[in-house]
Amino acid sequence: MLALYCSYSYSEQIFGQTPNAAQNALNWSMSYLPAQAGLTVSDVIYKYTTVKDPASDMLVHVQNEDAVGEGYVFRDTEDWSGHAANTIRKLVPVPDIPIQRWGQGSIEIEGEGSVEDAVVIYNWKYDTCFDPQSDPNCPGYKPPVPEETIDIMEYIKDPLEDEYIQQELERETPSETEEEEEERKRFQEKLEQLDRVEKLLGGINASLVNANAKLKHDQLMALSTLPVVYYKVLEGRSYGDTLQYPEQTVPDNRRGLRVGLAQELLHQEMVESQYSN
Amino acid sequence: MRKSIIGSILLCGSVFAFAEDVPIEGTVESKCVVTSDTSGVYGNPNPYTLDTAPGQGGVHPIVRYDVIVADYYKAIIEYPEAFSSSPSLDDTLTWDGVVMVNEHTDAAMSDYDSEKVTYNNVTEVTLDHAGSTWFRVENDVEYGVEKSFPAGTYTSIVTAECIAL
Amino acid sequence: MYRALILLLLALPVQAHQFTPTYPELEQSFVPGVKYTKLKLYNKRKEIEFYEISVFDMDWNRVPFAITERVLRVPYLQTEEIEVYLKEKDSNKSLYICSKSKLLKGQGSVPAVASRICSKVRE
Repeated sequence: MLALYCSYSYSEQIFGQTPNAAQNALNWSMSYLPAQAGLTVSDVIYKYTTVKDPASDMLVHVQNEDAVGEGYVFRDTEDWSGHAANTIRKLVPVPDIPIQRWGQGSIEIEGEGSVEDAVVIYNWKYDTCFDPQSDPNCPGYKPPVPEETIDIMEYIKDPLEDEYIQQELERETPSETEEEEEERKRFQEKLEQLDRVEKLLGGINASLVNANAKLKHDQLMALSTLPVVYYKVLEGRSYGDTLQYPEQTVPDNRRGLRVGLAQELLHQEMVESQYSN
Repeated sequence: MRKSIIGSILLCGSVFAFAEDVPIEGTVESKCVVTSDTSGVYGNPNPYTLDTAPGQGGVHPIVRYDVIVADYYKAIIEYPEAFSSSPSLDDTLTWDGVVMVNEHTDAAMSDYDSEKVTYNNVTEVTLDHAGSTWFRVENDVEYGVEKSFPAGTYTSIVTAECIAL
Repeated sequence: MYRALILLLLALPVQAHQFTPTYPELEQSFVPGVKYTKLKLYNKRKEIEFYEISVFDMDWNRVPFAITERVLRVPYLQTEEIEVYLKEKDSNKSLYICSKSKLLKGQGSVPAVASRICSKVRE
Protein backbone atom coordinates (compact mmCIF):
# COMPACT_ATOMS: atom_id res chain seq x y z
CA MET A 1 0.00 0.00 0.00
CA LEU A 2 1.34 3.28 -0.99
CA ALA A 3 0.35 6.09 1.30
CA LEU A 4 0.09 9.50 -0.37
CA TYR A 5 0.78 12.62 1.58
CA CYS A 6 -0.39 15.91 0.02
CA SER A 7 0.95 19.28 0.92
CA TYR A 8 0.55 22.55 -0.99
CA SER A 9 2.63 25.65 -1.50
CA TYR A 10 1.43 28.84 -3.11
CA SER A 11 2.46 32.34 -4.01
CA GLU A 12 0.13 35.31 -4.35
CA GLN A 13 0.25 38.41 -6.56
CA ILE A 14 -0.52 41.62 -4.73
CA PHE A 15 -1.60 44.63 -6.82
CA GLY A 16 -1.82 48.24 -5.77
CA GLN A 17 -1.67 51.86 -6.81
CA THR A 18 0.23 54.82 -5.42
CA PRO A 19 -1.50 58.05 -4.47
CA ASN A 20 -0.93 61.08 -6.67
CA ALA A 21 2.86 61.49 -6.78
CA ALA A 22 2.57 65.02 -8.26
CA GLN A 23 0.09 66.33 -5.66
CA ASN A 24 2.58 68.79 -4.11
CA ALA A 25 5.00 69.65 -6.89
CA LEU A 26 6.12 68.74 -10.39
CA ASN A 27 9.09 66.83 -8.91
CA TRP A 28 8.72 63.87 -6.60
CA SER A 29 10.64 60.96 -5.12
CA MET A 30 9.47 57.39 -5.52
CA SER A 31 8.90 56.87 -1.79
CA TYR A 32 5.23 56.34 -2.67
CA LEU A 33 6.14 52.84 -3.88
CA PRO A 34 6.05 50.24 -1.04
CA ALA A 35 9.52 48.99 -0.09
CA GLN A 36 8.79 45.40 -1.05
CA ALA A 37 11.22 42.86 -2.51
CA GLY A 38 10.38 41.97 -6.08
CA LEU A 39 7.99 44.90 -6.59
CA THR A 40 7.53 46.01 -10.22
CA VAL A 41 5.62 48.87 -11.84
CA SER A 42 3.28 47.82 -14.65
CA ASP A 43 1.85 51.15 -15.83
CA VAL A 44 1.81 54.88 -15.27
CA ILE A 45 -1.41 56.91 -15.34
CA TYR A 46 -1.12 60.67 -15.65
CA LYS A 47 -3.36 63.66 -16.19
CA TYR A 48 -2.71 67.40 -16.36
CA THR A 49 -4.16 70.59 -17.82
CA THR A 50 -2.01 72.87 -19.94
CA VAL A 51 -2.17 76.64 -19.84
CA LYS A 52 -0.78 78.06 -23.06
CA ASP A 53 -1.34 80.17 -26.11
CA PRO A 54 -2.63 78.02 -28.99
CA ALA A 55 0.06 79.36 -31.32
CA SER A 56 2.98 78.77 -28.96
CA ASP A 57 5.28 75.74 -28.94
CA MET A 58 5.30 73.49 -25.92
CA LEU A 59 6.48 70.00 -25.07
CA VAL A 60 5.52 68.28 -21.82
CA HIS A 61 7.52 65.29 -20.58
CA VAL A 62 6.32 63.03 -17.78
CA GLN A 63 9.42 61.11 -16.74
CA ASN A 64 11.37 59.13 -14.16
CA GLU A 65 15.16 59.00 -13.97
CA ASP A 66 16.94 55.67 -14.09
CA ALA A 67 18.28 55.11 -10.56
CA VAL A 68 20.67 52.38 -11.72
CA GLY A 69 22.02 53.65 -15.03
CA GLU A 70 21.90 56.85 -17.01
CA GLY A 71 18.96 58.48 -18.71
CA TYR A 72 15.32 57.77 -17.99
CA VAL A 73 13.57 54.57 -17.10
CA PHE A 74 10.25 56.11 -18.20
CA ARG A 75 9.53 59.11 -20.37
CA ASP A 76 6.31 60.04 -22.16
CA THR A 77 6.14 63.21 -24.21
CA GLU A 78 3.17 65.14 -25.57
CA ASP A 79 3.71 67.81 -28.19
CA TRP A 80 1.29 70.72 -27.59
CA SER A 81 2.94 72.98 -30.19
CA GLY A 82 0.29 74.78 -32.21
CA HIS A 83 -2.57 73.20 -30.25
CA ALA A 84 -5.00 74.82 -27.86
CA ALA A 85 -4.66 74.24 -24.13
CA ASN A 86 -6.69 71.36 -22.73
CA THR A 87 -6.60 68.43 -20.35
CA ILE A 88 -4.88 65.19 -21.22
CA ARG A 89 -5.41 61.82 -19.53
CA LYS A 90 -3.23 58.82 -20.44
CA LEU A 91 -2.33 55.35 -19.29
CA VAL A 92 1.13 54.22 -20.41
CA PRO A 93 2.05 50.56 -19.90
CA VAL A 94 5.65 49.75 -18.88
CA PRO A 95 7.28 46.30 -19.01
CA ASP A 96 7.21 45.43 -15.27
CA ILE A 97 10.22 47.53 -14.35
CA PRO A 98 11.59 46.64 -10.88
CA ILE A 99 11.46 49.15 -8.03
CA GLN A 100 15.26 49.60 -7.86
CA ARG A 101 15.32 51.39 -11.22
CA TRP A 102 12.68 54.02 -10.46
CA GLY A 103 14.43 57.28 -9.67
CA GLN A 104 13.24 60.84 -9.25
CA GLY A 105 10.03 61.65 -11.12
CA SER A 106 9.11 64.97 -12.72
CA ILE A 107 6.97 66.80 -15.25
CA GLU A 108 9.27 68.81 -17.46
CA ILE A 109 8.05 71.59 -19.73
CA GLU A 110 9.85 72.79 -22.83
CA GLY A 111 8.64 75.95 -24.50
CA GLU A 112 6.01 78.46 -23.44
CA GLY A 113 3.22 77.42 -21.14
CA SER A 114 2.55 75.74 -17.84
CA VAL A 115 0.85 72.72 -16.40
CA GLU A 116 -1.65 72.55 -13.56
CA ASP A 117 -3.75 69.99 -11.66
CA ALA A 118 -1.15 67.31 -12.38
CA VAL A 119 -1.90 63.73 -11.35
CA VAL A 120 0.70 60.94 -11.69
CA ILE A 121 -0.16 57.47 -10.39
CA TYR A 122 1.89 54.27 -10.57
CA ASN A 123 0.29 50.80 -10.71
CA TRP A 124 2.51 48.24 -9.00
CA LYS A 125 2.49 44.55 -8.14
CA TYR A 126 4.68 42.01 -6.31
CA ASP A 127 4.79 38.32 -5.56
CA THR A 128 4.54 37.40 -1.87
CA CYS A 129 6.95 34.52 -2.50
CA PHE A 130 9.58 36.51 -4.37
CA ASP A 131 11.85 35.49 -1.48
CA PRO A 132 10.91 31.82 -0.83
CA GLN A 133 12.36 31.97 2.67
CA SER A 134 9.82 34.62 3.71
CA ASP A 135 7.07 32.05 4.28
CA PRO A 136 7.16 28.28 4.89
CA ASN A 137 4.21 27.95 2.45
CA CYS A 138 6.24 29.36 -0.45
CA PRO A 139 7.46 26.95 -3.15
CA GLY A 140 11.20 26.42 -2.81
CA TYR A 141 11.24 27.08 0.92
CA LYS A 142 14.13 25.30 2.65
CA PRO A 143 13.93 24.67 6.40
CA PRO A 144 16.82 26.31 8.20
CA VAL A 145 19.78 24.23 9.45
CA PRO A 146 19.49 23.52 13.26
CA GLU A 147 21.83 25.57 15.41
CA GLU A 148 23.24 22.74 17.59
CA THR A 149 26.76 21.63 16.60
CA ILE A 150 27.51 18.09 15.49
CA ASP A 151 30.75 16.31 16.39
CA ILE A 152 31.66 14.83 13.04
CA MET A 153 34.27 12.53 14.57
CA GLU A 154 31.47 10.51 16.11
CA TYR A 155 30.40 9.39 12.66
CA ILE A 156 33.84 8.55 11.27
CA LYS A 157 35.13 5.00 11.80
CA ASP A 158 38.45 3.49 10.84
CA PRO A 159 37.55 0.70 8.41
CA LEU A 160 40.57 -1.34 9.51
CA GLU A 161 39.01 -1.61 12.96
CA ASP A 162 36.02 -3.44 11.56
CA GLU A 163 35.71 -6.98 12.90
CA TYR A 164 34.97 -8.64 9.56
CA ILE A 165 37.77 -6.87 7.75
CA GLN A 166 40.16 -8.00 10.44
CA GLN A 167 39.06 -11.62 9.95
CA GLU A 168 39.70 -11.42 6.22
CA LEU A 169 43.13 -9.94 6.74
CA GLU A 170 44.07 -12.71 9.15
CA ARG A 171 42.88 -15.55 6.91
CA GLU A 172 45.65 -17.56 5.13
CA THR A 173 45.26 -19.31 1.79
CA PRO A 174 45.95 -23.11 2.07
CA SER A 175 48.93 -24.37 0.03
CA GLU A 176 48.39 -26.85 -2.72
CA THR A 177 49.79 -30.42 -2.45
CA GLU A 178 51.58 -32.00 -5.47
CA GLU A 179 48.69 -34.35 -6.14
CA GLU A 180 46.20 -31.58 -6.23
CA GLU A 181 48.46 -29.61 -8.59
CA GLU A 182 48.66 -32.45 -11.13
CA GLU A 183 44.90 -32.99 -10.96
CA ARG A 184 44.34 -29.34 -11.77
CA LYS A 185 46.76 -29.42 -14.74
CA ARG A 186 45.01 -32.48 -16.26
CA PHE A 187 41.62 -30.83 -15.95
CA GLN A 188 42.87 -27.70 -17.65
CA GLU A 189 44.26 -29.62 -20.62
CA LYS A 190 40.97 -31.41 -21.05
CA LEU A 191 39.13 -28.13 -21.18
CA GLU A 192 41.48 -26.77 -23.85
CA GLN A 193 41.00 -29.88 -25.98
CA LEU A 194 37.22 -29.61 -25.78
CA ASP A 195 37.48 -25.99 -26.81
CA ARG A 196 39.46 -26.84 -29.98
CA VAL A 197 37.01 -29.59 -31.04
CA GLU A 198 34.07 -27.21 -30.59
CA LYS A 199 35.65 -24.52 -32.77
CA LEU A 200 36.35 -27.02 -35.53
CA LEU A 201 32.81 -28.42 -35.53
CA GLY A 202 31.24 -24.91 -35.43
CA GLY A 203 32.99 -23.83 -38.66
CA ILE A 204 31.89 -26.90 -40.62
CA ASN A 205 28.24 -26.66 -39.48
CA ALA A 206 27.98 -22.99 -40.28
CA SER A 207 29.07 -23.43 -43.89
CA LEU A 208 26.78 -26.42 -44.41
CA VAL A 209 23.70 -24.54 -43.08
CA ASN A 210 24.38 -21.50 -45.23
CA ALA A 211 24.80 -23.43 -48.50
CA ASN A 212 21.65 -25.56 -48.01
CA ALA A 213 19.47 -22.67 -47.11
CA LYS A 214 20.61 -20.66 -50.10
CA LEU A 215 19.88 -23.49 -52.51
CA LYS A 216 16.37 -23.96 -51.17
CA HIS A 217 15.62 -20.28 -51.43
CA ASP A 218 16.73 -20.13 -55.07
CA GLN A 219 14.54 -23.10 -55.97
CA LEU A 220 11.45 -21.56 -54.39
CA MET A 221 11.89 -18.26 -56.19
CA ALA A 222 12.35 -20.05 -59.54
CA LEU A 223 8.92 -21.70 -59.20
CA SER A 224 7.13 -18.31 -59.09
CA THR A 225 4.33 -19.70 -56.92
CA LEU A 226 4.49 -16.78 -54.53
CA PRO A 227 2.68 -13.67 -55.84
CA VAL A 228 4.93 -10.61 -56.01
CA VAL A 229 2.13 -8.09 -55.78
CA TYR A 230 -1.67 -8.15 -55.37
CA TYR A 231 -3.81 -5.90 -57.55
CA LYS A 232 -7.29 -5.59 -58.77
CA VAL A 233 -8.97 -2.93 -60.85
CA LEU A 234 -11.99 -1.27 -59.14
CA GLU A 235 -14.58 0.12 -61.49
CA GLY A 236 -15.57 3.59 -60.44
CA ARG A 237 -18.61 5.63 -61.34
CA SER A 238 -19.63 9.23 -61.13
CA TYR A 239 -22.86 10.76 -59.83
CA GLY A 240 -24.29 13.51 -61.93
CA ASP A 241 -26.50 16.38 -60.71
CA THR A 242 -30.14 15.47 -61.13
CA LEU A 243 -31.99 18.14 -59.11
CA GLN A 244 -32.05 21.75 -60.15
CA TYR A 245 -33.96 24.72 -58.86
CA PRO A 246 -34.87 27.06 -61.69
CA GLU A 247 -34.01 30.70 -61.11
CA GLN A 248 -36.97 32.81 -60.13
CA THR A 249 -37.64 36.29 -58.88
CA VAL A 250 -39.86 36.69 -55.84
CA PRO A 251 -42.45 39.34 -56.62
CA ASP A 252 -43.82 41.74 -53.94
CA ASN A 253 -47.16 40.67 -52.54
CA ARG A 254 -49.41 43.66 -53.30
CA ARG A 255 -52.32 42.28 -51.26
CA GLY A 256 -50.01 41.74 -48.32
CA LEU A 257 -48.71 45.28 -48.59
CA ARG A 258 -52.23 46.74 -48.45
CA VAL A 259 -53.32 44.63 -45.51
CA GLY A 260 -50.06 44.48 -43.62
CA LEU A 261 -48.70 48.00 -43.97
CA ALA A 262 -51.34 49.72 -41.88
CA GLN A 263 -50.98 47.14 -39.14
CA GLU A 264 -47.20 47.35 -39.38
CA LEU A 265 -47.31 51.12 -38.90
CA LEU A 266 -49.61 50.79 -35.90
CA HIS A 267 -47.45 48.10 -34.39
CA GLN A 268 -44.34 50.21 -34.87
CA GLU A 269 -46.09 53.16 -33.17
CA MET A 270 -46.96 51.00 -30.20
CA VAL A 271 -43.43 49.67 -29.90
CA GLU A 272 -41.89 53.16 -30.11
CA SER A 273 -44.22 54.49 -27.40
CA GLN A 274 -42.46 52.46 -24.75
CA TYR A 275 -39.08 54.14 -25.35
CA SER A 276 -37.91 57.61 -24.39
CA ASN A 277 -35.94 58.14 -27.62
CA MET B 1 35.86 0.81 -29.61
CA ARG B 2 35.09 1.97 -33.16
CA LYS B 3 31.63 0.42 -32.93
CA SER B 4 30.91 2.18 -29.68
CA ILE B 5 32.00 5.54 -31.17
CA ILE B 6 29.80 5.07 -34.25
CA GLY B 7 26.91 3.98 -32.05
CA SER B 8 27.18 7.05 -29.85
CA ILE B 9 27.38 9.37 -32.91
CA LEU B 10 24.22 7.77 -34.39
CA LEU B 11 22.45 8.10 -31.05
CA CYS B 12 23.39 11.76 -30.77
CA GLY B 13 22.29 12.39 -34.36
CA SER B 14 18.84 10.94 -33.75
CA VAL B 15 17.95 13.45 -30.98
CA PHE B 16 18.62 16.72 -32.92
CA ALA B 17 15.72 19.19 -32.45
CA PHE B 18 14.25 20.80 -35.56
CA ALA B 19 13.05 24.32 -34.96
CA GLU B 20 10.17 25.84 -36.88
CA ASP B 21 8.92 29.40 -37.04
CA VAL B 22 5.38 29.65 -35.73
CA PRO B 23 3.83 32.93 -36.76
CA ILE B 24 1.38 34.85 -34.61
CA GLU B 25 -1.07 36.86 -36.67
CA GLY B 26 -3.57 39.48 -35.75
CA THR B 27 -5.39 42.44 -37.22
CA VAL B 28 -6.30 45.77 -35.76
CA GLU B 29 -9.97 46.32 -36.55
CA SER B 30 -11.21 49.85 -36.83
CA LYS B 31 -14.03 50.54 -34.44
CA CYS B 32 -15.68 53.27 -32.46
CA VAL B 33 -16.74 52.79 -28.88
CA VAL B 34 -19.18 55.25 -27.35
CA THR B 35 -19.22 55.33 -23.59
CA SER B 36 -21.41 57.17 -21.16
CA ASP B 37 -18.68 58.32 -18.78
CA THR B 38 -20.75 60.60 -16.52
CA SER B 39 -24.51 60.91 -16.35
CA GLY B 40 -25.60 64.48 -16.06
CA VAL B 41 -27.61 66.12 -13.30
CA TYR B 42 -29.65 69.30 -13.56
CA GLY B 43 -29.05 71.87 -10.90
CA ASN B 44 -31.90 74.24 -10.01
CA PRO B 45 -30.19 77.57 -9.20
CA ASN B 46 -33.51 79.42 -9.40
CA PRO B 47 -37.15 78.31 -9.86
CA TYR B 48 -37.22 78.89 -13.61
CA THR B 49 -33.79 77.46 -14.60
CA LEU B 50 -32.34 73.98 -14.87
CA ASP B 51 -28.60 73.91 -15.52
CA THR B 52 -25.89 71.22 -15.64
CA ALA B 53 -23.11 73.62 -14.65
CA PRO B 54 -21.30 72.61 -11.43
CA GLY B 55 -21.57 76.17 -10.18
CA GLN B 56 -25.37 75.89 -10.48
CA GLY B 57 -25.53 72.63 -8.56
CA GLY B 58 -25.46 70.42 -11.60
CA VAL B 59 -23.16 67.90 -13.28
CA HIS B 60 -22.24 68.06 -16.95
CA PRO B 61 -22.78 64.77 -18.75
CA ILE B 62 -19.59 63.45 -20.29
CA VAL B 63 -19.44 61.14 -23.29
CA ARG B 64 -16.30 59.31 -24.24
CA TYR B 65 -15.34 58.25 -27.75
CA ASP B 66 -12.63 55.65 -28.38
CA VAL B 67 -11.39 55.14 -31.92
CA ILE B 68 -8.77 52.60 -32.87
CA VAL B 69 -7.94 54.04 -36.30
CA ALA B 70 -7.94 57.73 -37.14
CA ASP B 71 -10.14 59.27 -39.85
CA TYR B 72 -12.66 56.42 -39.90
CA TYR B 73 -15.39 58.04 -37.81
CA LYS B 74 -16.98 61.34 -36.95
CA ALA B 75 -18.66 62.14 -33.66
CA ILE B 76 -22.07 63.81 -33.67
CA ILE B 77 -23.32 64.98 -30.29
CA GLU B 78 -26.68 66.62 -29.71
CA TYR B 79 -27.47 68.40 -26.49
CA PRO B 80 -31.10 68.07 -25.39
CA GLU B 81 -33.80 70.37 -26.69
CA ALA B 82 -36.74 68.60 -25.09
CA PHE B 83 -37.48 66.67 -21.93
CA SER B 84 -37.93 62.93 -22.38
CA SER B 85 -39.96 62.87 -19.19
CA SER B 86 -41.22 65.72 -17.05
CA PRO B 87 -44.30 67.01 -15.27
CA SER B 88 -46.88 68.68 -17.48
CA LEU B 89 -45.55 71.99 -18.85
CA ASP B 90 -47.75 74.59 -20.52
CA ASP B 91 -45.24 77.26 -21.49
CA THR B 92 -42.27 77.56 -23.77
CA LEU B 93 -38.86 76.24 -22.94
CA THR B 94 -35.68 78.03 -23.96
CA TRP B 95 -32.84 75.60 -24.43
CA ASP B 96 -29.14 76.36 -24.70
CA GLY B 97 -26.03 74.27 -24.72
CA VAL B 98 -22.56 73.61 -25.99
CA VAL B 99 -20.34 70.58 -26.52
CA MET B 100 -16.68 70.96 -25.55
CA VAL B 101 -13.64 68.67 -25.44
CA ASN B 102 -13.09 67.86 -21.78
CA GLU B 103 -10.11 65.49 -21.86
CA HIS B 104 -8.17 63.43 -24.39
CA THR B 105 -5.28 61.02 -24.71
CA ASP B 106 -3.43 62.87 -27.48
CA ALA B 107 -2.38 66.51 -27.35
CA ALA B 108 -3.43 67.01 -31.00
CA MET B 109 -7.06 66.28 -30.05
CA SER B 110 -7.31 69.67 -28.37
CA ASP B 111 -7.87 71.01 -31.90
CA TYR B 112 -11.27 69.32 -32.01
CA ASP B 113 -12.76 72.36 -30.25
CA SER B 114 -11.59 74.70 -32.99
CA GLU B 115 -12.33 72.27 -35.84
CA LYS B 116 -15.82 71.20 -34.79
CA VAL B 117 -18.92 72.15 -36.80
CA THR B 118 -22.04 73.28 -34.92
CA TYR B 119 -25.57 73.79 -36.19
CA ASN B 120 -28.80 73.89 -34.16
CA ASN B 121 -28.07 71.69 -31.15
CA VAL B 122 -25.65 69.49 -33.05
CA THR B 123 -21.88 69.38 -32.80
CA GLU B 124 -19.91 67.41 -35.39
CA VAL B 125 -16.27 66.48 -34.92
CA THR B 126 -14.18 64.42 -37.31
CA LEU B 127 -12.13 62.02 -35.18
CA ASP B 128 -8.86 62.32 -37.06
CA HIS B 129 -6.66 61.07 -34.22
CA ALA B 130 -6.70 57.58 -32.73
CA GLY B 131 -7.29 57.40 -29.01
CA SER B 132 -9.90 58.51 -26.48
CA THR B 133 -11.71 61.83 -26.30
CA TRP B 134 -14.06 62.94 -23.54
CA PHE B 135 -16.74 65.45 -24.62
CA ARG B 136 -18.49 67.59 -22.03
CA VAL B 137 -22.09 68.58 -22.77
CA GLU B 138 -23.21 71.81 -21.15
CA ASN B 139 -26.95 72.34 -21.14
CA ASP B 140 -29.47 74.67 -19.54
CA VAL B 141 -33.18 75.44 -19.98
CA GLU B 142 -35.46 78.26 -18.88
CA TYR B 143 -39.22 77.99 -18.44
CA GLY B 144 -41.37 80.71 -19.93
CA VAL B 145 -40.51 84.21 -18.73
CA GLU B 146 -39.04 83.46 -15.31
CA LYS B 147 -41.88 81.02 -14.64
CA SER B 148 -41.29 78.40 -11.94
CA PHE B 149 -40.87 74.81 -12.97
CA PRO B 150 -43.53 72.54 -11.47
CA ALA B 151 -42.18 70.04 -8.94
CA GLY B 152 -41.24 66.67 -10.34
CA THR B 153 -38.49 64.73 -12.10
CA TYR B 154 -37.05 66.19 -15.28
CA THR B 155 -35.06 64.00 -17.63
CA SER B 156 -33.53 64.75 -20.98
CA ILE B 157 -31.26 62.82 -23.29
CA VAL B 158 -27.94 63.59 -24.89
CA THR B 159 -27.55 61.78 -28.21
CA ALA B 160 -24.02 60.67 -28.99
CA GLU B 161 -23.46 59.25 -32.45
CA CYS B 162 -20.41 57.74 -34.12
CA ILE B 163 -20.80 57.69 -37.89
CA ALA B 164 -18.41 55.92 -40.25
CA LEU B 165 -16.84 58.24 -42.82
CA MET C 1 -0.69 53.99 -28.68
CA TYR C 2 -3.32 51.35 -29.42
CA ARG C 3 -2.09 49.28 -26.46
CA ALA C 4 -2.59 52.28 -24.18
CA LEU C 5 -6.12 52.71 -25.51
CA ILE C 6 -7.04 49.07 -24.97
CA LEU C 7 -5.75 49.07 -21.40
CA LEU C 8 -7.76 52.23 -20.66
CA LEU C 9 -10.93 50.41 -21.59
CA LEU C 10 -10.04 47.59 -19.21
CA ALA C 11 -8.78 49.63 -16.31
CA LEU C 12 -11.68 52.06 -15.91
CA PRO C 13 -15.34 51.24 -15.28
CA VAL C 14 -16.96 51.93 -18.63
CA GLN C 15 -20.41 51.78 -20.06
CA ALA C 16 -19.81 51.34 -23.73
CA HIS C 17 -21.57 50.46 -26.92
CA GLN C 18 -19.75 48.89 -29.87
CA PHE C 19 -20.93 48.11 -33.40
CA THR C 20 -18.54 46.50 -35.89
CA PRO C 21 -17.29 46.24 -38.58
CA THR C 22 -16.92 49.85 -39.67
CA TYR C 23 -17.34 48.97 -43.35
CA PRO C 24 -19.42 45.81 -43.73
CA GLU C 25 -19.47 44.00 -47.07
CA LEU C 26 -22.71 42.90 -48.72
CA GLU C 27 -22.94 39.30 -49.89
CA GLN C 28 -25.47 37.43 -52.00
CA SER C 29 -28.11 35.75 -49.87
CA PHE C 30 -29.97 32.52 -50.63
CA VAL C 31 -32.81 34.60 -52.12
CA PRO C 32 -32.12 36.03 -55.60
CA GLY C 33 -32.23 39.82 -55.65
CA VAL C 34 -31.45 40.15 -51.95
CA LYS C 35 -28.11 40.83 -50.34
CA TYR C 36 -27.13 40.59 -46.72
CA THR C 37 -24.37 41.49 -44.32
CA LYS C 38 -23.35 40.48 -40.80
CA LEU C 39 -22.58 42.88 -37.98
CA LYS C 40 -21.73 42.52 -34.30
CA LEU C 41 -23.25 44.53 -31.51
CA TYR C 42 -21.55 44.54 -28.11
CA ASN C 43 -23.33 46.00 -25.13
CA LYS C 44 -21.30 47.20 -22.19
CA ARG C 45 -23.95 49.56 -20.86
CA LYS C 46 -25.45 48.06 -17.75
CA GLU C 47 -28.58 50.24 -17.85
CA ILE C 48 -29.34 49.57 -21.55
CA GLU C 49 -30.71 46.29 -22.87
CA PHE C 50 -32.41 47.21 -26.13
CA TYR C 51 -30.95 48.47 -29.37
CA GLU C 52 -32.75 49.47 -32.55
CA ILE C 53 -31.30 48.69 -35.95
CA SER C 54 -32.03 51.01 -38.86
CA VAL C 55 -30.70 51.63 -42.35
CA PHE C 56 -30.33 55.06 -43.99
CA ASP C 57 -29.02 56.38 -47.26
CA MET C 58 -26.47 59.17 -47.50
CA ASP C 59 -29.21 61.80 -47.09
CA TRP C 60 -30.45 60.11 -43.94
CA ASN C 61 -33.62 58.82 -45.56
CA ARG C 62 -34.81 55.48 -44.24
CA VAL C 63 -34.13 52.50 -46.50
CA PRO C 64 -36.34 49.39 -46.27
CA PHE C 65 -34.54 46.36 -44.94
CA ALA C 66 -35.29 43.01 -43.33
CA ILE C 67 -34.03 41.67 -40.04
CA THR C 68 -35.25 39.06 -37.56
CA GLU C 69 -35.87 41.72 -34.89
CA ARG C 70 -35.74 45.45 -35.45
CA VAL C 71 -35.36 46.12 -31.72
CA LEU C 72 -32.86 43.68 -30.26
CA ARG C 73 -32.39 42.66 -26.70
CA VAL C 74 -28.67 42.56 -25.93
CA PRO C 75 -27.98 41.89 -22.25
CA TYR C 76 -25.06 43.50 -20.46
CA LEU C 77 -21.62 42.24 -21.61
CA GLN C 78 -23.16 40.21 -24.42
CA THR C 79 -22.41 40.30 -28.12
CA GLU C 80 -25.20 39.86 -30.62
CA GLU C 81 -24.54 38.95 -34.23
CA ILE C 82 -27.15 40.33 -36.60
CA GLU C 83 -27.89 39.85 -40.29
CA VAL C 84 -29.36 42.71 -42.27
CA TYR C 85 -31.01 41.92 -45.61
CA LEU C 86 -31.28 44.58 -48.32
CA LYS C 87 -32.71 44.66 -51.82
CA GLU C 88 -30.05 44.44 -54.47
CA LYS C 89 -31.18 47.70 -56.08
CA ASP C 90 -30.66 49.51 -52.73
CA SER C 91 -27.28 47.94 -52.14
CA ASN C 92 -25.68 49.67 -55.12
CA LYS C 93 -25.38 52.95 -53.23
CA SER C 94 -23.71 53.95 -49.96
CA LEU C 95 -25.76 53.18 -46.89
CA TYR C 96 -25.53 53.62 -43.12
CA ILE C 97 -26.51 50.69 -40.92
CA CYS C 98 -27.01 52.06 -37.42
CA SER C 99 -27.59 50.68 -33.96
CA LYS C 100 -29.14 53.01 -31.41
CA SER C 101 -29.64 52.43 -27.71
CA LYS C 102 -33.27 52.50 -26.58
CA LEU C 103 -34.10 53.93 -23.16
CA LEU C 104 -37.24 52.50 -21.56
CA LYS C 105 -39.79 54.92 -20.21
CA GLY C 106 -40.61 54.65 -16.55
CA GLN C 107 -37.20 53.24 -15.69
CA GLY C 108 -36.03 54.16 -12.18
CA SER C 109 -33.12 56.36 -13.13
CA VAL C 110 -33.06 57.18 -16.79
CA PRO C 111 -29.54 57.61 -18.13
CA ALA C 112 -28.81 60.85 -19.87
CA VAL C 113 -26.95 59.50 -22.91
CA ALA C 114 -28.39 57.67 -25.91
CA SER C 115 -25.69 56.31 -28.20
CA ARG C 116 -25.90 55.53 -31.88
CA ILE C 117 -23.13 54.00 -33.95
CA CYS C 118 -23.38 53.72 -37.71
CA SER C 119 -21.39 51.48 -39.98
CA LYS C 120 -21.13 52.41 -43.63
CA VAL C 121 -21.77 50.15 -46.62
CA ARG C 122 -19.68 51.62 -49.40
CA GLU C 123 -20.94 51.45 -52.98
